[in-house]
Parts: sequence; structure tokens; C-alpha cells
Amino acid sequence: MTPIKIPSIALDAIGPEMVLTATAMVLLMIEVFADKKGRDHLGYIALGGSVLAGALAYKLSGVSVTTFGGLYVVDNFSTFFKIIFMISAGLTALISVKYAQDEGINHGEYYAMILFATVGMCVMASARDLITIFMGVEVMSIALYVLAGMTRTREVSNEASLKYFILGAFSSGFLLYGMALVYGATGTTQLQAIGKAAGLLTGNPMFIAGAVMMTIGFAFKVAAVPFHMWTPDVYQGSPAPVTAFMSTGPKAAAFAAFLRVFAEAFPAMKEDWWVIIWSLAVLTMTMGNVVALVQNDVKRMLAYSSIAHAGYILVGLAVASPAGSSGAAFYLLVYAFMNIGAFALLIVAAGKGERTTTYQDFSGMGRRSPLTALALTIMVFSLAGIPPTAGFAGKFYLFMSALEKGFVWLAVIAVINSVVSVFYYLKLVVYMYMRDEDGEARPEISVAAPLAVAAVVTVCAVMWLGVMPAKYIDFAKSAFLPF
Amino acid sequence: MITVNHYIALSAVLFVIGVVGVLTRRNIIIVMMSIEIMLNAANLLLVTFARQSGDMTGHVFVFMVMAVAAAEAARGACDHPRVVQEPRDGGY
Repeated sequence: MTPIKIPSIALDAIGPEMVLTATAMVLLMIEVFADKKGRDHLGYIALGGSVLAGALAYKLSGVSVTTFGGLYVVDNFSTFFKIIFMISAGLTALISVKYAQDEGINHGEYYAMILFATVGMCVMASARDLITIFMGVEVMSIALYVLAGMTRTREVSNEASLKYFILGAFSSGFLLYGMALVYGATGTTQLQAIGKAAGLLTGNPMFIAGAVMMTIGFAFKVAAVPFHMWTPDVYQGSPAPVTAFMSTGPKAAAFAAFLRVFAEAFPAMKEDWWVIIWSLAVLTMTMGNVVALVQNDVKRMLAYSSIAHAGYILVGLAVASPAGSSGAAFYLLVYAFMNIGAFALLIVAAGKGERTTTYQDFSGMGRRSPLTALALTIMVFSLAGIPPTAGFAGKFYLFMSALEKGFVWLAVIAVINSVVSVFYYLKLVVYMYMRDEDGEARPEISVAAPLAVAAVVTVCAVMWLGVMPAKYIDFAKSAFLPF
Repeated sequence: MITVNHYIALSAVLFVIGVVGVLTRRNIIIVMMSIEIMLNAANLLLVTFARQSGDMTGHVFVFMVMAVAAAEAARGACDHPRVVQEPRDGGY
């Protein structure tokens, strides 16, 4: 009998994932044993877990190992994305503290689900095998379906959860079927082995069908038009901190897996697939921006704006160059800060039960709560891409990568779209500073300490990344993928 | 004689049945069944190719998919009664 060969396992390379899982389990145990007062600390424990995991991930920068028999890879690309995920998870835990207490969802499982979803995202960023990618996608998605429906007594939240579940599972079906076809055509699930085999397979219908179906699956996950139908309702119906989380971390994870699959498994198809991604990018940013123009509800506007931002990031994918992939990575880092910051201030303005989220409800905010209005102004300036905020630096670097590769029209369309987006972002500023209150009774604006901390952190990050981006862009540059 | 192509055709038919089911049916249970059919169409394909090439990876993948499908079904099952039921606190 031949002995079974056990592949070498580098446990130190999965430190962040282990810390997250352990923290999530501790949270579940605290939920069982702690009284109501003890549960007030749950959010801070989740924050601590994410910070620790983020520090461990940062320590792995520069490391490049493939472990678990080639299923899992830790390189600068995955490390950069893991830091984005930890920032997203940590800030979400912070802005959830007050919200969860107000809405009666301050349970261990709420924070545990955030951390479990983050583990799934880490797996997606590090996966070098179709099996690991699929498992990562599902670990993340199933936790998110639950999070979307966390506020059980709100009908819109239930609806959002169900819609997300049905369409998420539907897109997983496409992703899986595409993976099965690619496996059939190449005889392997290893991304690099697929890349080698694919060179001999140009024109093979089964391989092309598989690649297209995988693209559809990923396009669903990043909410690219025309696969975006679920996004507005899900983002509007979910609890606000969960929406902030879904639009930053999981979106970054889907882009990470998307980028790695196409850089390592399908490089032979680069000549054909840029047309598909190019069209997806143009459709996504145009649709997202145009529909965001006519929204009356700020939360729904942010949902459409999130679609538009996915379109900008797709520019980096269409370019298919090292600069494009690191531009997308840097933009996702910036987006994590500015979008969670915007949602933190939306939570402040919306009050208990998220009842006041229309533009009207923001009128006179500049007088009622000057600091909140100022912070929100900085966030929407950054989302619109106005210097000296981080949004400008991110867009500049991303669109430059398109120009370098000769995608002039794509860059022009992207810039026109940014100009369009300024209208609906500044509309919010106009309401806050130039409209008087309409006399309707609105809840007093009070900023809880954790929300204030989150707002200060995101404002500082957005300004710092906007004024001094060089060091972080260099880090993003080291996290490129070889196309 | 049943060849690999027969299995591929069967799996494609099953997948299309699943997609059409999700898109056209309004009953949430039937939609979930259709999603299961989609996943199992992919499973059939994976097993076919694994048998064809004598490679174990496909079989392992199928086990993973089964575990995921079970988790998804559990999540779907807990959702269904909640949506049908009136919110207890009256909701907003």
C-alpha cells in the first residue's frame, strides 16, 4: 500500500483567516453566556478581531507562498485585498454598535456573520483553484443573505434578504456551471494549469461557454449592468451598516476573484474578453449614474452610485494590465473608506428605524448639525472625485491606466460619467446648506461615540489618501497581477 | 451505448430547466427547487468529466457543492415562513 502524500500546509500564511474565525466563534459563545449589558461590547470585540487580522495580513506583505497543495496562495495581491476587507469589516462593526442596539439586532450572530463573510472574502482573494473560489464565494454569500435580513421586523429587510438569496444562488449556479465546463475542457481546476491548457484550446466551444458563464457569475456578484437588477432593492432594504459592508468588502472580493481568474486562467483570451468587459464597464457606469440622477432617496441613490463605481473599477479590468489591476485595487481601498463613511453619516441622519433618508430630510442639516454636514460633504466630494480627496486620486490613477494602454474612449466615457455623478452628489450638499428646513418634525440629530469615531477615521483616511497617495499607490503597484 | 455527450446534453437540459424555472415561476419553493436543479446539472457535468479523465478533483468538487447546496437550502428554508408571516411588531 502506498502511503498517502499529505501536501505541506503553511498555517502561518492563513493567520488572518484563523483570527477572524476564532473571533466569530468567541462572539457566538458570548451571545449565549452574556447578559444584555455584556452584549454592548460585541461590536468592539469584532472590531478588535478585524484589526488584529488586518495587522497579521499586513505582516504578510512581501510574502509569496502557494500552500494547501496549490489551492491557496498568499501574495501581495491577496494581502492588499485582505487589508481592504479588514478595513471594511472593522468599520462596519464600529458603525453597527449604536445601530444594532437601536434596532434590536445587537446579537453575537450579527457580528459573527460579518466576520464569517470576511473569511469567505479572504478565501476568494487567495484562491488559486476553482474549488476554493467557489467555496469562498459561498461562505461569503450565505453569511450576507442572513445579514441582509437581520432586522426581522422590517418588511423591506426580509424582502431584500429573499431577493438577494434567490438571485445570489442563481448566479452561483451560473458560476458553477461555467467552472464545470472549464474543468471539462481543460481537465483541471488549478488556475495556472487551466491557463497553460487554454493556450491550446482557442476556439474550443466548451471552454468559451465556460468562460462566458463564469463571467456572468462574477458580473452578478459585482453588480455589473445588465446583471444588477438585485442591487437597488437589496441595498435599500438591508440595514444601513450591512449595505455599507456589502457595497465595499464583498464587492472588492468579487473583483479580486474576477481579476485572478482572468489573469491566471484565461490570459489566452485577453484579445476577446476586453470587448465584453469594455461593454460591461460602459453600460454599468452609464446606467448607474443616469438612474442615480432621478432618485429621491439618498440610500437608494448610494445604491445606484455603487453600481456606477463598479463600472469605474471594471475599467481597470478591461485594460487587463498590471497598472489596471493595481488601479482597481487602489480604487477599491479608497471606495471602502468613502462609502462606509457616507453610510455612517447616513445612519446618523436617518435616525431610529431609518425613517428619514430622502433628500428633503437632509435640508437644513448644515445648521442643525454642522459637523455631520461637513463630514458628509467631504464624503460626497470624494465619491464625486473632486480633488484633494481620495476619490480623485483613485479615479486619476485608474483612468490613467486606461490611457496608457490606448483605451482613450473608455477613459473619456469614464470622465464624462464622473461629471454626471457630480450632479446628484452635490444635490445632497445643496440640500444640506442651501435649503431651509421645511418645518416637518425630524428626530434630533445625535452622534453616538462609535459613529463619531468612524466618521473621523474615514474623513482622515479620505483626506490623507487624497493628499499623500504616493506611498499607498506604490503598495497597490506591488500588488499587481501578471497579465 | 451512452457516451459522454449524452451526459453533457442531459446536464445542459437540466440546467436550462432550472434557469427557466427560476425566471418564470412565482412560487418561492419551486424557485428554490429550480436552483437545486441548476446546481445538480453542474454536479452531473463535473462527475462526467471526472469519470472520463479518471481524475478525482471533479468528485471532490461535487462533495463541496453538495455541502454548499445543503447550507443554501437550510438558509432558504428558514427564510420562507418568515416572509409569509406577518411581522410580529407590526413592522414599519
